[in-house]
Amino acid sequence: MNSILLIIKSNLARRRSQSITAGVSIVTVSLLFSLSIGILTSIQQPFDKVFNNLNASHILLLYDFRNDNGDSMKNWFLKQPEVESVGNPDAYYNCNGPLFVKTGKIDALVQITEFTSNHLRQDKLKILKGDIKDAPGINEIWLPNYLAVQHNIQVGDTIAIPTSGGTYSFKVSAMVSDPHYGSGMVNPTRAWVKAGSLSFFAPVSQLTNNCLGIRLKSTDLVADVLGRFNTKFNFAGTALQYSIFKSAFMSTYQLIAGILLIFSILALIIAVYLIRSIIIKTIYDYYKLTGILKAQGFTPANIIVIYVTQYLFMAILFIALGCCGTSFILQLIMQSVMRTIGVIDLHLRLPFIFAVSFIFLTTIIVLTAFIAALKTTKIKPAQAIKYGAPERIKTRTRADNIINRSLLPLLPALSIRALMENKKRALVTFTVLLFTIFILLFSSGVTTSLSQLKYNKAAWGFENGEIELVRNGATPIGFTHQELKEIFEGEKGIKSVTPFSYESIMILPGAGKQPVNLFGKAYEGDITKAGLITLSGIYPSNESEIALCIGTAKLLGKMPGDSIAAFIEGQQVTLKITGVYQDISNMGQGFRLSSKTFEKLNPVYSPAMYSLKLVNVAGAEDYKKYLQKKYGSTITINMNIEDRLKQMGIVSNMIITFLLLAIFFITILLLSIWNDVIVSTRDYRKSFGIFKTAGFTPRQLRMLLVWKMILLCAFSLILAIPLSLFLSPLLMGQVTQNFGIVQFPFSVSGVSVIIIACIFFCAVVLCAWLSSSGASKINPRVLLVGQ
Amino acid sequence: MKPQILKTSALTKSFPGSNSAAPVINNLDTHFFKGEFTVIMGNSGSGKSTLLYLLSGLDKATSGKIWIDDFPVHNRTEKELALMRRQKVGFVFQDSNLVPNLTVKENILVAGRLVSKNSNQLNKRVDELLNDLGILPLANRMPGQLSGGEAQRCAMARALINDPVVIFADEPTGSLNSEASLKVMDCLDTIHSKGQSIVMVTHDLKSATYGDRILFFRDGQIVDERLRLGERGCAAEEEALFTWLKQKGW
Ligand SMILES: Nc1ncnc2c1ncn2[C@@H]1O[C@H](COP(=O)(O)OP(=O)(O)O)[C@@H](O)[C@H]1O
Ligand SMILES: [Mg+2]
Repeated sequence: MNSILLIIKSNLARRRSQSITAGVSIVTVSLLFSLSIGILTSIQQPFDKVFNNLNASHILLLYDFRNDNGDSMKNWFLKQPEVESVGNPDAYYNCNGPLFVKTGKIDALVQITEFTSNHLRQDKLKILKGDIKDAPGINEIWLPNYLAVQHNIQVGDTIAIPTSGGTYSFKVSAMVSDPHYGSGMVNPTRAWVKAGSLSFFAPVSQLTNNCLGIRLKSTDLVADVLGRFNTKFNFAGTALQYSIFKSAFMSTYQLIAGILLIFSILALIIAVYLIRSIIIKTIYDYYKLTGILKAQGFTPANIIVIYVTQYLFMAILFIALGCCGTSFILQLIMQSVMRTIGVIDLHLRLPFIFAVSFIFLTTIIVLTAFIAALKTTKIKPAQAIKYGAPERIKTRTRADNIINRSLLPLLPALSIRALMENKKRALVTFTVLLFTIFILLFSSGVTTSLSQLKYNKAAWGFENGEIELVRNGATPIGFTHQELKEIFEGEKGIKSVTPFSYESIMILPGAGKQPVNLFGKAYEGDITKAGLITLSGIYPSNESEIALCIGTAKLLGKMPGDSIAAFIEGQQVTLKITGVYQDISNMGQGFRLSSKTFEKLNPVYSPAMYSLKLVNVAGAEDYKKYLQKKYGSTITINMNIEDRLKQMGIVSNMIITFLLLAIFFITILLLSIWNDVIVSTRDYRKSFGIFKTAGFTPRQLRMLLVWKMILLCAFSLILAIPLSLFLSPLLMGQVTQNFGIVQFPFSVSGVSVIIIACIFFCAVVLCAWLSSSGASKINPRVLLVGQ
Repeated sequence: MKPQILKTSALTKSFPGSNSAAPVINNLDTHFFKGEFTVIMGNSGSGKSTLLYLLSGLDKATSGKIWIDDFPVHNRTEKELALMRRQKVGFVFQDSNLVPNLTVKENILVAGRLVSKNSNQLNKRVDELLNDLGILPLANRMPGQLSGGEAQRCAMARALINDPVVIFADEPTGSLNSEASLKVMDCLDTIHSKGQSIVMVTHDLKSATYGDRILFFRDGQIVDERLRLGERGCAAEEEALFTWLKQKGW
């Protein structure tokens, strides 16, 4: 055993650059892998922690007190055994128009809620920035921290709120952590003002909205309680629940962790290849030594132990390094997450994360080493000592006419022969090239798809209208639905109008299953007119039909053709499912109905939202101004989805993430090309000497190596471009299916594919060229006997 | 007097890293004649291989001048040297040094394609050469499937493919048994009889007797030379050469 350790030591020292290459790749793999596991396992913690610290409600009921009686609901909840506590109904004002701050306007739907003393007990708020006070003061407002961060609002700024009588200004006095509205993924959001101050700026007739919070003893009781509630009450408002708050908060981080996991698996495959080829290379380099060892009485098992132990050492050392990196980066990520949400202490399950990474990665690395080392058993001592290399009688290959005929120039022809000669190494390099270009194209495709969203809205689940607006029916001079619709139909600039409304219904899935509270939309007229498409089936055209979002359809286990029972406007109806669609805006949950359903059940129903398709798409911004000017406060134009995304920084964050990953993978690629070229130069130094003697110029010698990369690179591009077009949507579909997108609306831009392919190609060729300089410095003495 | 094909003037080569202060080639003035078969002999490590590398433009001299066929080899860039080599120089080593993943024929074609653009003509020329050297049936074999002598003759065909001005051979029979050596030397003799200039380094007395003129190299200098008197490869000539070499300190 002692002698084995000695050999390992000398192996590591003598093959330093290769050990470093293997080490770097192991470190990266373990970093990516443990980081993604770390994020996946830790991200729900801060949320739950803050949720519990603040005694947050698992259920929020938003309702109009003219339709639902808050006190009787409260009393009913108090009697349920699962309920821990129930808050008081809080009055809130739905602020539909944009808020104005010094940095511009905020196009979010904000519920301005009164902060009562009840919030010192349940649904507490944690003040992250600003004066620590029990409640906001007069003319002060508390904002959720993420909103402040997103819009760069500071404590002390003023914020102006549109009211029916002009704007009303508040001073921002604190940023709070509000677990119900913890992320920009959910609209509306909530802001807090002093109790009783709503009536300062809103007429009492508009202050009919209330919010009631119910905190349960455990999170998994939500469905039970809500189910019973719905059978007992004809609740006409909206019930928000724990799972929505949580998934909204976690979705972004899960997406990041998912992508990291995909990349770490790709990196693992590269590392396995690298380790395998390094071991095989070492075996050939030490061919003679191995023969001598065998002659001295080492058994094949002893020799395998040498390699396996060596890589076991390396795995332990480098995975540990990677895990150190993870513990550092994970702390940073989680701390920034915690800061936005306001948790102070966090228990990261580092030992668990590290144990999983260690066991998984070490097993794979040691197994790779073992399989690669099995080769040594085939070494015959006598032959090894005599020749110092495996005796390889080369037989003719199929490409043998390539040099005889002058179809190809000499250098590429020779390179093809060299590739055929060492197919395995060519395959490894080819695979690394393929992976890298695939990842680049994949990243660019995903980013393009996101940035092209506005041309492809229907596939993401949005109406294709350029303008979405709200009819402010409550204003004294407001229009009715019929009036406004006729006005829009008369506007020359508008091609089509699709009126719709946001609605919530309660699905009753049947015996033994919990009712499901759903948000969705009701459309007037033909739904497909708004550009919307289905995954299967069609959209409803009469009052007894419904289309479900894919997530809901899965949740209920329903397909087009099935029927479901639902509570709508306080009445139970049976609806036939006509189709299933995808929609990212509500985490894959939701429905689309014809407005006829609501008209039938509620005689005073009328839609208040309009999606307008314009004649001149490019002039949308000007047309918005025109409409706003012409119709003033009777309408509110919403920010469209592409601007909202831009504001949330999703696309730009994505681009930065992908850019970093691209740099990372290109670095690995360039390192392995460099390694390949250096190893090739050494392996073929005799051939280079011969070519030099025969009169190859230094440039031609280097080009022999470069041509190999040009060929491999060209092949990998030829394969990777169609492959990425085919696989990227499938991969992304896997990632986004939890967000309600099963068929990822993948779009590519030919220009960026070409640019990426060119940059990739140039980088590879340049790297190969720079690392090939050794080939031109070959000393002809290598050709002497015994050298 | 025969025209000179190769000459040097004050040629010096020293290796900066080596511990001995004396240059390996020391201020050497010498010349080689057109159509002559010149043999260089000397002790092991005296610098014969180094000299051949300098003469063939494979290595650069520390100082001094070299002309091949009136073409100045000194002060050239690597590229110019490479272009010169493919036209004017053929090289045969002790080891055949064939590219292992190319067939016999391809090994020769690779060198040929550097110069000739006409592939039909080139293919014909390769076949001709292989035939002359008696290895045409082996044209499509891989180097690993050849005997030492066959491989060496293939290396000679490669050296000859571009009709070089001069062929350098560094101990071409050094790794061969006497039978294979004889065949290789016969080939060299045939080439020489067609007017090819050859400069050969050897340790083997029998091979050395094929030379028209034998130079003795020591201490970085050609210290003496001897013209062949008797028959090629005959025992008497071998004997006489041996006595001469011993006198020079071989
Ligand atoms: N690159 C080099 N660096 C240092 N010394 C060298 C180098 N190449 C050759 N030598 C030395 O030059 C001397 C002559 O070598 P060589 O020409 O191969 O001798 P020969 O061919 O006569 O046996 C030797 O002593 C050798 O060690
Ligand atoms: Mg020598």
